[in-house]
Amino acid sequence: MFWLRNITGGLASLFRKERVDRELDEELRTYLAMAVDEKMKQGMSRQDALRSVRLEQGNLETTKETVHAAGWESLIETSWQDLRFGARLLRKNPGFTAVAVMTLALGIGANTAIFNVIQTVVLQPLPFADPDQLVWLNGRMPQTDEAGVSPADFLDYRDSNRTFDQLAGISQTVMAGPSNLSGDKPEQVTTNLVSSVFFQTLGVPLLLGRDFQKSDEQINTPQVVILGNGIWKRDFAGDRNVLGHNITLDGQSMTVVGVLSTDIPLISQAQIWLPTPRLHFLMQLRGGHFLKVIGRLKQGVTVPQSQADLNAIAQRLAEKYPDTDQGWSLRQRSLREVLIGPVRPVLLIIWAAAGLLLLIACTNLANLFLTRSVGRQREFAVRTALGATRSRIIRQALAETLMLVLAGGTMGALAASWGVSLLRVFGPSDLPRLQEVHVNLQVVTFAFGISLLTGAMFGLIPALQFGKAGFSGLKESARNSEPAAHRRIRSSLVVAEIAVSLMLLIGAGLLIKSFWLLIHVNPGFQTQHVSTAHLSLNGLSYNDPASRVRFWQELEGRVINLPGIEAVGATSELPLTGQHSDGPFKIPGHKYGPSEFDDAHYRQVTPGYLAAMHIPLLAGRWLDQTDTAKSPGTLLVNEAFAKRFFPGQDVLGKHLDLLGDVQPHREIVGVVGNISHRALSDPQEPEMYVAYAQYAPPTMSLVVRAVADPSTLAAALHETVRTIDKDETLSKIRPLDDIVASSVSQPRFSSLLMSLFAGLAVTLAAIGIYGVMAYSVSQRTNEIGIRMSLGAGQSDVLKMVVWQGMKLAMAGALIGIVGSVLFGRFLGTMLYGVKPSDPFTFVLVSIGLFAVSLAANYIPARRAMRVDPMTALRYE
Amino acid sequence: MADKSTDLVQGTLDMLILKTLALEPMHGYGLAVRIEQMSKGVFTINAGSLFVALQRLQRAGLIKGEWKATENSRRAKYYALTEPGRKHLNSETREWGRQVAAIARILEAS
Repeated sequence: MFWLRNITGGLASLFRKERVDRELDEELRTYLAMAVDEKMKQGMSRQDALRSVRLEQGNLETTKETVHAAGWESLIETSWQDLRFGARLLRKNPGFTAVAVMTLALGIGANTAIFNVIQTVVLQPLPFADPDQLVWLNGRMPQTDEAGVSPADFLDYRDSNRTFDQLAGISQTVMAGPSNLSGDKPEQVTTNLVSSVFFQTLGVPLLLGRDFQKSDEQINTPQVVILGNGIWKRDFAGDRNVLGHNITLDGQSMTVVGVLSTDIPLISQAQIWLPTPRLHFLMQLRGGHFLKVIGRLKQGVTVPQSQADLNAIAQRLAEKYPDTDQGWSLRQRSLREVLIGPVRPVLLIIWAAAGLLLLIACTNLANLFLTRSVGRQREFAVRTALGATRSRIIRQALAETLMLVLAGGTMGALAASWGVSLLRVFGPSDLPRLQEVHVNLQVVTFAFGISLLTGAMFGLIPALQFGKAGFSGLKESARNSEPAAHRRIRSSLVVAEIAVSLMLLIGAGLLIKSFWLLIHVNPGFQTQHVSTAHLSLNGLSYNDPASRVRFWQELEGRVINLPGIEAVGATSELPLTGQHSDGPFKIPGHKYGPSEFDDAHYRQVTPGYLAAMHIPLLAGRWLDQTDTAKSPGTLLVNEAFAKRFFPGQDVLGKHLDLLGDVQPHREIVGVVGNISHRALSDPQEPEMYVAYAQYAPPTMSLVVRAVADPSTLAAALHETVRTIDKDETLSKIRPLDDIVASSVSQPRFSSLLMSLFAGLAVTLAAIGIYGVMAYSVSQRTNEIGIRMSLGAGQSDVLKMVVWQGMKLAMAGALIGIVGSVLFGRFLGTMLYGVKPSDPFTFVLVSIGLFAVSLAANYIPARRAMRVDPMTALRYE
Repeated sequence: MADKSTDLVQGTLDMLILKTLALEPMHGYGLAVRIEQMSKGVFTINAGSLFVALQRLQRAGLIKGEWKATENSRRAKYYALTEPGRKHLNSETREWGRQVAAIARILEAS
């Protein structure tokens, strides 16, 4: 009750301030009048009585202030006054205010934008129901723990585990076939095979219909589909009666049984989902490890418990099927770790860089405020003399800071929302959940939170200095000189600024050098003037491998005759696109244990492919038209293959037994150059190339080397495909240059952002040095005048001032280098071909920073040099 | 606020005001004079602390104020004890008595 009355009483006096004031005024006046009356009654003259009362009771105004200040509302009132006063001061110095607000907006904006990305990508739980229960299962064997799970093994794990609510498989081999959904022309849609209850396992609800059931799997080819949300909206106009409709996919009619509530780009780009056809021979394999498995742990089950469960099953499988399952087990990781883990360190490092940038912004502002505080010493001294307490003055200074940081925070939040939309467009395509990043309440709170923190950091030092000035500020001589304490603070701020910017610069330098090295890796093929396209032949019309071979022969025959075409070919797997399969094989004559074999990258190509890519032939012959389904099995290997598996031998004429191949026995007829297949940063690995005519998968990528304009080329290619078969179509037409560029989009992103932050940091640091030196010169005008009149030359003065500034720069650089050496190892995983302590970068960057600081020093130093001794002395 | 002696003095002044007002409604100056008289000059009340205390008591709802004409035909704000104020005074007085007795026992024990 008491506090309630106190609050209402306080509010009343806030809002009816005048009346409350008047009442108090009248009450006090009456009080004094009565006291005077009393004294006069005792025989004093009116004059004496007045004087005596005043002596006893003190000043009426002071008493009023005391009563006033006792209520809590007075704090609000004075704060409001402080804020208004602060705003007025800021308006009077538009230049200062603009610089301060811009600096703040930069620092806060950069931090908020990066925080927004981190919040969505790293901090938010995955967009699935109970995401903490989800785990990702990989096949593990002695050579690798990144393999898939064989479909037959998957069924055993699914049926006999005791620690999972559900296990669901997803085939990472994306099958894409032509379909004619909208009715006007065929298009390639991306599909994905998933086992029953996949969406229930993942915790993604269906908007319409049902999840796949076990009965959907008991077939040779899928009969039912679940539509992704995007394609349902696009091609079916969001029709809620779509269930039961038949659609034609890959020449086969299938029934729609469900529509997803949302697409799940985190897991797959699939637009349409199909059930895994269990009766298909591929799905019966125990030796082919191509399924990825997602599991939902039972509530209360720990990862070690379920790992023990899985290991027991692996043990049983190995005993039952020693030929295929010995040595295999499952590796279990949280789904979140698998999806988000790889990008976390990159984002955290960029965030740290943004934090350092903000630190520099704070330092600069602290310096600005400190400079201003000297000019205002007198003002504060006068106020102190008039009875303002030190806390009141500090409060007032903080109020000014608060106005600034709120303005800076608002601008920063705006800049961040703008930056976030830029990031969504230009950010790396392989950064998960980037498209989900939106400014939200939490982010705005963050922006204002760090604004206030910033204000506290740069506002408090000068405020404390204000308070200290005290009465001494009133003395005439104190008017223009700066306390030594200020100079020390100011110098250490500059040193800190230089140290931090050097660290950022070195980080950026390392990333740039690493990126430069990365894009200058020779991938082993030539990317210019090469276009690629994707084509998946209709499974029904092209059921026979011979028909597929005929289609491609005709397509290549027609394309080579198009204008401007130099070479044409096709491959089952383009480099740097994430397409990747391993071919297990045995070398005849080598000893292998049970389920032991050798392994190398493996793909099918048409004869023109290697020439179109400019992959060089080092020995032997190309694959050519003589390699047909009926001729003896042949293959090409690359140099790395020859070195790894036949060191010091001539590989030509050697034979390999490929496991699960249509022609298990193949002869090596040629050796070609190495290429970077998985990533430019990965070592170039052993590769095998098999003629398409001898093993023809339905899905291939067309590769065309042409000098023609890409857009007319695309139209010509489409037209060519249509003339051969009007139901087939190309998709994903894009230059090879693009593919290479997007394969390095993450390092490009991080080096670009780092450079941006480092550039801003150096600019701010240069402004900082300049400000401090310019100020110091203006303070020392007098001293410089004396020196010059005593015979110091202009160059002496120049040297003195520059040296003073460069001492700070050197101290800062030294600390920065030590810091970079200490923290550089966090960059280690992001670097390619560069050590975190790369001396070249350290030296170059330090020289650059020195040059900038020298320039920032030189301008004020020149001003000092031009000081006219007479003027300077008269200035006093 | 953590200063104990201030709290004690404040509390004491509050109690003296409440006790004085329990006799009859009074204006500020009257209160000051009455407390001084009753304490035989031990306490002299400064206007500042008096009005701070009055504002506090009023906000706490222990007293209420009303503008009236004085015998010398001035306008003054007369303060009167409210019902919660009376209760508060009673409990405070009891508490005070207990404390004084306790302190006295301690002092006599030595």
